[in-house]
Amino acid sequence: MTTPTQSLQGSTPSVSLPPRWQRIALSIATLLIFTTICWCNLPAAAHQACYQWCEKNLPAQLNYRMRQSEWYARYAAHIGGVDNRWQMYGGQSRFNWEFQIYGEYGEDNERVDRLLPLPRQSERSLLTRWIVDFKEAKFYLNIYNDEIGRECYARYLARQFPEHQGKPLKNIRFDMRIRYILPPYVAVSKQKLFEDDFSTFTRDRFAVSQDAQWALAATAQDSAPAALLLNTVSQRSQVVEDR
Amino acid sequence: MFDRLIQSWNTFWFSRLDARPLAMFRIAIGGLFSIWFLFILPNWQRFFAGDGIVSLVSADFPNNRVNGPLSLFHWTEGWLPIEIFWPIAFAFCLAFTFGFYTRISTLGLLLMINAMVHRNPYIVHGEELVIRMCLLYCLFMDLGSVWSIDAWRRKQHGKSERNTILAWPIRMMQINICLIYLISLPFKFYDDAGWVTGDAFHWTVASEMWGLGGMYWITLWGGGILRKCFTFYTVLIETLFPTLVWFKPCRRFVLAGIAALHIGIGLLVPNVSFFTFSMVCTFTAFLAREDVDLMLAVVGRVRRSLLSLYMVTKATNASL
Repeated sequence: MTTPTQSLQGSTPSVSLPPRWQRIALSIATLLIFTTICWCNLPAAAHQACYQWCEKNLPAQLNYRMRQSEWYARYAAHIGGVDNRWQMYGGQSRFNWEFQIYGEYGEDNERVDRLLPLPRQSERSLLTRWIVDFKEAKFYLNIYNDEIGRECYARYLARQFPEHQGKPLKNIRFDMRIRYILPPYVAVSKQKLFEDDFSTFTRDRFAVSQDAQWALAATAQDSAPAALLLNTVSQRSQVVEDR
Repeated sequence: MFDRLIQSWNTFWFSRLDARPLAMFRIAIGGLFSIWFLFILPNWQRFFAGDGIVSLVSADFPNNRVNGPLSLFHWTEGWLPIEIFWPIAFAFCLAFTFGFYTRISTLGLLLMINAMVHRNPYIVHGEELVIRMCLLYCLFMDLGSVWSIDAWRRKQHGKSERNTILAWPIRMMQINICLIYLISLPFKFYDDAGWVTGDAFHWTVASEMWGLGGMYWITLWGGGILRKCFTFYTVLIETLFPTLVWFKPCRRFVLAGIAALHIGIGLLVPNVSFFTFSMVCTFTAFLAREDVDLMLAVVGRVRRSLLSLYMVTKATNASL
């Protein structure tokens, strides 16, 4: 039986090797890279156990240096893009969920709620759903547990939909609609996959009137002289640079 | 014993290997990402502009997760419009696919993908992470040595052909791909008991986000026998692939098995197509010289058959 070194990529490979110093450097790099990848992919409990062992058994200065070196190694891995944690259908959800994102327009006594015309909650053609919206599911999954991410998106929506029926936008509301999936054996016996009822609750309500007003002002200035518009653009750039 | 170990290590990591499988990898993943860039064009501004979903223009709202300093877009914010980067990225992708100034286009494509990932991590999916990992190692090899515009230009200038590549970056890519399965499989068992009992496919089928689009019969039919078969097949092939792919008698079977799994997922499951097809593209890096020879022989045979069929049809039409 051929060995892995001989079998992969065909018959006996060519034996012209690089210089010795290059082989040693690449070998060390190989071991460092794989050690870093394995370290980054250990469970958090393993990392905590290591940190606690170091704190207990090493002198304070050495412990500090170890933690610092570990941080540098992780950052180098982050720069190189080798700190990915791979999950392919790992922990799967036991319920189906979807965001329903509403804009709340007008004051409290004359409030109008509008289901915003967004991907995954409005009528879209097949082509649009398969081509234009191909990132939406992952985006929603990534902001599912990230309140700041949801607020980021809410502020963007405020700039896109600042008014409705003459009323200014006040809040962006994230409602969650959930339907539980029946366990496998129950599903087989009942020959259906889902519970009959949906649950809906409000996950977040973000006050975004400032972003909406800014968007309305920018739209009004679009019809103003070009110099005024340039001022607005440079002010936006300055805001970003200041941040 | 130690000398034999060193010799095996040197042969595995530092010999020279056939360049054609990596050229196939370059063409496959470059072609896939060319389509990916076309798909992302309608949302380019929305995803990456300062007033897009990253909301950089909201002055009172700092979000440290977006617009990281590792992104090229961070440093050009305010003086280069974001729209200018799409044609640049697409041009790098096409150049990479066709092997035109391959190393430069590899670096350019890597910088663009990195810029996108660090600008807006909320939309990052597996395909960006896979290609970013592969492109890092591709910087250390001449992907344009064969089947490329660079190879054609070298030939035109009378320079010698480069048919082999140093093994090191190829091995790094191969092992990283195997590590994806070696790492994700234990986490599968730990995070979801369904992968142990054979019921994991039930939750996949039922998922409206990542599921099979209404093909509920897969889990409901026959007392769930199909769902157990699919679940255990997935576990089996993901367990066997990282080890058996290194042995010649098993290599083609495990490659075919895991490619079939990913192609099936890519065609049936919405929202993960690009990731699964990018994994299929990376499997070309495991092909051996004889696999490529066989594929070229089959392609040649099919081409000759089609040509002779065409000639016969043409002759028949002429006689009529």
